[in-house]
Amino acid sequence: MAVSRGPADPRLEVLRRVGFLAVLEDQALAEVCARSRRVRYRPGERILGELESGAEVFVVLEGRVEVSVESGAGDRYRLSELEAGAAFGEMSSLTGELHSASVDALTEVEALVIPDSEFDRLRERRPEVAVALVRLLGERLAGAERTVDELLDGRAREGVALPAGGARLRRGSISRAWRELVVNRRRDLGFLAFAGFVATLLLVRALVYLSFRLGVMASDLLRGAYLTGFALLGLSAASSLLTFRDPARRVIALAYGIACALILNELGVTLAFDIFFKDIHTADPTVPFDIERLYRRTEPMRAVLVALLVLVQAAYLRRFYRRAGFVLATRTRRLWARLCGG
Amino acid sequence: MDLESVERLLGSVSLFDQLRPDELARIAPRFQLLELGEGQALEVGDAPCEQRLLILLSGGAQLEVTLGGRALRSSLDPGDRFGDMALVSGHPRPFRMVARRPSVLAAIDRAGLERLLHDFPAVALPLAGELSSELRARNDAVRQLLELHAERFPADELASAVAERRRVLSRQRATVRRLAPRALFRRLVVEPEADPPFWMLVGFVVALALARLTVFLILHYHLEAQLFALVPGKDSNPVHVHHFNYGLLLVAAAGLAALFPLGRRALRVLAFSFGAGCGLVFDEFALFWNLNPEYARASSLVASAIAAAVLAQLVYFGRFWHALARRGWRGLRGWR
Repeated sequence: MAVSRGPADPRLEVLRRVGFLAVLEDQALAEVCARSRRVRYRPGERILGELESGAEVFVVLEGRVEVSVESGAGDRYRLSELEAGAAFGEMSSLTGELHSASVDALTEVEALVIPDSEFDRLRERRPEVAVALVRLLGERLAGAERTVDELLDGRAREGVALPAGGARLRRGSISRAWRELVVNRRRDLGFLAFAGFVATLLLVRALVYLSFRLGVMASDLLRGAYLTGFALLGLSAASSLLTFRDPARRVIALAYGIACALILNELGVTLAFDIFFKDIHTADPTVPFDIERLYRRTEPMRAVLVALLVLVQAAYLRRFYRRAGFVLATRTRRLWARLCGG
Repeated sequence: MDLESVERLLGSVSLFDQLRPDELARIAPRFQLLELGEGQALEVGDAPCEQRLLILLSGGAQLEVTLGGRALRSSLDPGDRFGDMALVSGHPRPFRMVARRPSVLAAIDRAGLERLLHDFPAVALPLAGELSSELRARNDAVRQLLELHAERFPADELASAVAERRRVLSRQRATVRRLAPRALFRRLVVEPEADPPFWMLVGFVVALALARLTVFLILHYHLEAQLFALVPGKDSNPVHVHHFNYGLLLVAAAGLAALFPLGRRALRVLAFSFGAGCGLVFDEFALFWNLNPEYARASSLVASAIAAAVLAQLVYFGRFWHALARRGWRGLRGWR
């Protein structure tokens, strides 16, 4: 992504094609250009992501972009393609809500990014922009209402499913299993969390084993590991609620798996440390504080098994659970309606 | 009802609260005042020319919207309104309004609203915001319905799910716009509530306060043996499952669920769960930091205050920090 602040944008003609900016005269459009920044995106680069917060308004000056949404099952559906003269992001700027779709560059794209403050200023100083927006949004709302009615009446308008990388069908073999279970899933978030969990668990167990055998820094290592795990879990969970860009989310998934492994491996320490205390005010002198004893308790292993089970399900079986959950929910709802009706 | 009262009441409606008193005085006569006696009904059909924006000025009324053969009712109090979305989009929504007690309504048709927008474009600012929220809800519905059709679910289940979506949409289409909340409440609650950090902060504060109160009551009334989760084992003292463990479980569950595709509502629920989990963890920060069960230590409170401050920064100054980080990042790249 290359950013440049243009002196005077020569492409006012493009801005005049944007419905809500068309009401402005050349001087005002030139001012908008001067207060905005021009950004170039490479083909395939994400311009804004679904569920991300952000209130800037984008105007496509050159190139084509694709608007798409991700389904609950992880498939991506193309909603539309926009060309030069199209704008997006204005709804989030108006309401401060999260973006409802992702926009990716299909070709080399040059976009004018109007900052939220500038768009606010524009609407307040030139209310005719807001009036034009009302008309534009009113038309869009009418269109959305018609689409909703069509879909409710069973006239399915097929979203264009974007191609997903899938394995070619071949005969069963270890290499095929490896490809399907690992290689093809290397970008899957569930798999990354699972992989991070297993790798960290093996590494930490080896390190703790060595430190106990050598008698060095065992308690510091354990304390450091579970505190790092707590911090990493909090940060990765918060980031997964705030960031929706694919590369960042892959790092987050990995960090999440690492955090879970660090916490569960030392669960004995954080779960049962107060067996050495009579109550919350008094340490029990008959039971000396022994961190190795805590580490060797059996709870962590049970918890690790449960976590492995959950992460495997999340990595490999979530589509099945989603379908099963959907069918179960609708059948339950129908049964409930029948019972209530009866 | 005299014009002065009409102006005052219109000034409290979010569409017009940015107008000056002289502007309110100029728009008030453009509304047609309708008086309804108790039990009297006003019907608006599905013809575009019949659509009206109705604002209840006094009394009380019940709105009945029939969608998909099902009647939905909502009650209106003074300042509440209905019909603006149909008026602006041109997508008619027939409804019936019945007065619960003697009521006065201000009504305006499409042409009147167009003239109003032309003469007082400031009205377009809040209207554009409301339209965006409405459009966003419809886009969500389109997406959910597209998904349902694309997933090729069994026909019965699909029909049932579509019927459920129809019910939800009907409720959305019959939503009454309520009187504008006060400015401070809007700034502190209504505006930031779209973002996950707001729900994280709410969850954090609620969980922290509840945990503190519960533990205080348990310790004060010496109910440890009855109410603390004590798991006996082969050790002389039982294992007490501290509530930071439940917090960790909540944070972990929210984090895992948030890795997979979500809707906006699910995101809010998860953000709240995450915040609640963090509240439980930070309430016992001193315990796992020192591996000592002494609850009343200042470090838990300090850590909780820092966490709450960070969340509050994210909620109310998030854009500032984001811009600062972006500028810093650009500066760093330029320097390199």
